[in-house]
Amino acid sequence: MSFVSILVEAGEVILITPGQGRFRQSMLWLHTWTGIVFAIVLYFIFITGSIGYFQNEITYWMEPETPLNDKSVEQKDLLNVAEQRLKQVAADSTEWWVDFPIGRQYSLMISWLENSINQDGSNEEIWHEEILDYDTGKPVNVRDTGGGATLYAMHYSLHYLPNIVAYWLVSFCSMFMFVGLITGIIIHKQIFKDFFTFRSAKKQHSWRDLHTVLSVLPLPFHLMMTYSGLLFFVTMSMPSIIGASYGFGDENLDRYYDDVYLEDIVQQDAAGIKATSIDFSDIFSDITKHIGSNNIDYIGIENRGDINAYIEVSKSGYDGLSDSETYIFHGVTGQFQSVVVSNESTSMAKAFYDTLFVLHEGKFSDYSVRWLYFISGLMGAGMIASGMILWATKRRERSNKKGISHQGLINVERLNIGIIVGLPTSIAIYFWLNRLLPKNFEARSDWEINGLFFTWSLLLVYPFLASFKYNTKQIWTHQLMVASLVYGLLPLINYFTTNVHLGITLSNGHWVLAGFDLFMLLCSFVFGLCAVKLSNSPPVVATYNSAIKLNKHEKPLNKIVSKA
Amino acid sequence: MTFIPLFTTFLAFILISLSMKRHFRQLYPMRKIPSLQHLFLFRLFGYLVLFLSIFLFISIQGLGLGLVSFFGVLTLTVLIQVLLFSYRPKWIIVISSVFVFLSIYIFIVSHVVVLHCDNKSCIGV
Repeated sequence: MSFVSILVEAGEVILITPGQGRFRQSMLWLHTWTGIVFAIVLYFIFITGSIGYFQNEITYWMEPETPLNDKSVEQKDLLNVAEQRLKQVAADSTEWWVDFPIGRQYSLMISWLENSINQDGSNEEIWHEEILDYDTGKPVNVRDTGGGATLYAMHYSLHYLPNIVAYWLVSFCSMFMFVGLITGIIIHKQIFKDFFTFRSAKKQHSWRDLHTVLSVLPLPFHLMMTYSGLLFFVTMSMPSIIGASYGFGDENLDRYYDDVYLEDIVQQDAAGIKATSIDFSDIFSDITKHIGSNNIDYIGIENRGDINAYIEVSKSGYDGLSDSETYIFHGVTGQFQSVVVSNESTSMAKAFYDTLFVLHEGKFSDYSVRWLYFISGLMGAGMIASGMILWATKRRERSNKKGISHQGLINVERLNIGIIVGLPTSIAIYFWLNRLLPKNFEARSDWEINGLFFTWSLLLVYPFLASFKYNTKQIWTHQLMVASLVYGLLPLINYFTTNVHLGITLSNGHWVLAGFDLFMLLCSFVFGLCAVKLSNSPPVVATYNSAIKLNKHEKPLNKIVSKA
Repeated sequence: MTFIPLFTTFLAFILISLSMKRHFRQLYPMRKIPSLQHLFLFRLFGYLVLFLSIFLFISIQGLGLGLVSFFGVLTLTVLIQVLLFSYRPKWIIVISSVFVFLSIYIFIVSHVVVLHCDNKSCIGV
């Protein structure tokens, strides 16, 4: 009898359509608890990831010494300038590279390899980089900064942790992000009926509606990002797949990579026979015949000074979703040798991986699609933030009715403020420090990031200390006002410390730099608006009184009562 | 020309929202809610226009880029619509009419300009 009833129960669970009954409830439990536990890391990942789409532009802003040169200069002249300088400083070098200010690159940069022999006879390779001012041909001393690249790197390798530890943590959290997405879809009963719904006035439903809107609308984006993000770590998180065919360990992993990744550029080793290398300028007209004018992304020569020297010219732009072609010229004769189309896929699996990789990073995107990625990323961060607030709000309402509240809920409420508002504020402080730290301070790039995390830790602790005097709503308002102030003052600090402030960039049409300052002002406005609206909203129902109101027969429980 | 797919996506979702009673009431508060058949027609046309907008994105930007742009624009336009529905539902009909007009206008102008631009130098569309 009981066996039959167990079967019936099991059948119920299996056969009942997802969306009803215990399946939905357990999915709701999973969604709620994996959501709140992993929220801080996932919020951090979403914010730094969204920032990463504009890392070139952020780095450009953070290196204000980069010359604001005339964009209409021909690449032929730029190449001449670069080559003059290279001949000056790197005459004996075996590798020269010139990056042109095209597309999302904002400076003319040369780099070269210096081979030196150490005292113990070992070979040492040092890379040198210089940003050139193309009016004078002289290098510009740009301040040492992490730039946008460091912010972006934190997206997958966090900071202060060894890389492998960070990758495992991020991969682990991404898995739960994926769980959160799938469970979220399952529990959202009315995904089409409520597609446009956002009940702003109804207190109880508003946070849930906001959370739903911010999840459902960018759902294709979220699913693609999370799945592709997980795939990035697959060789680390699922090593047995490769291990079963190739064996474990680094050597076997290298064999696997050799098989999967075609050698993009034919690597010719130096033959050891000296030969004078041809100048870039000499083959420039030949290059133009192949790729058109002003189309070079970068140009470089390898094995320079040897008979096996070869010149690589990369065409700017994208061919579909992958990089555009690279043209190879002989380094001594200047003869055109071959075209290499990068990222050719060896197999369907690799094509699938490559497609997801390119989609995740959005490398192909010009400004308009990049903004769409950025906005969707911020909506994802908002999804997590609204989820955190929803978690706390729901439990606060329940505990108000019961008259008691757990310390865990209080902690989450206070942590929420520090996480959701504290992280953007600390990122703004990172930009502050970029302007305020002395230019010749050696460890300035390290201390810019240290400042970010130090500020964030202060902002995480502040709500706990301030709760002795202020309630939760007031602390939210405090932090929002601080965020608004910190973002709003940034263009002003820019004005006082550099000469690429809004006054100059707007009037000269340097839209990328102006756009950064304007976006800071927009952030300031949004935070300020939130702060004002929050402080003007009707006061939270006096929970203190209702919290301590007990029925006559109840003894006061020895639990902590919140003042919020 | 590049805005037409964006307008089309917006219009598609407005049509779909009109097929839902709750939103029909928000957009046309004075009218009677149409019958189920008419609501179904709204939804059908909404999806057809949505597929049209996917087609436009792909035909202008290519398959890969077109699909990516479509999903990105979808996110953005529906976000704006959600906000409009909550705070300014009356603006929606006005904005939709403007978009319809603009789409037709831009389309006609761009094709008329193309017709006139044979050998003479013309402004790029």
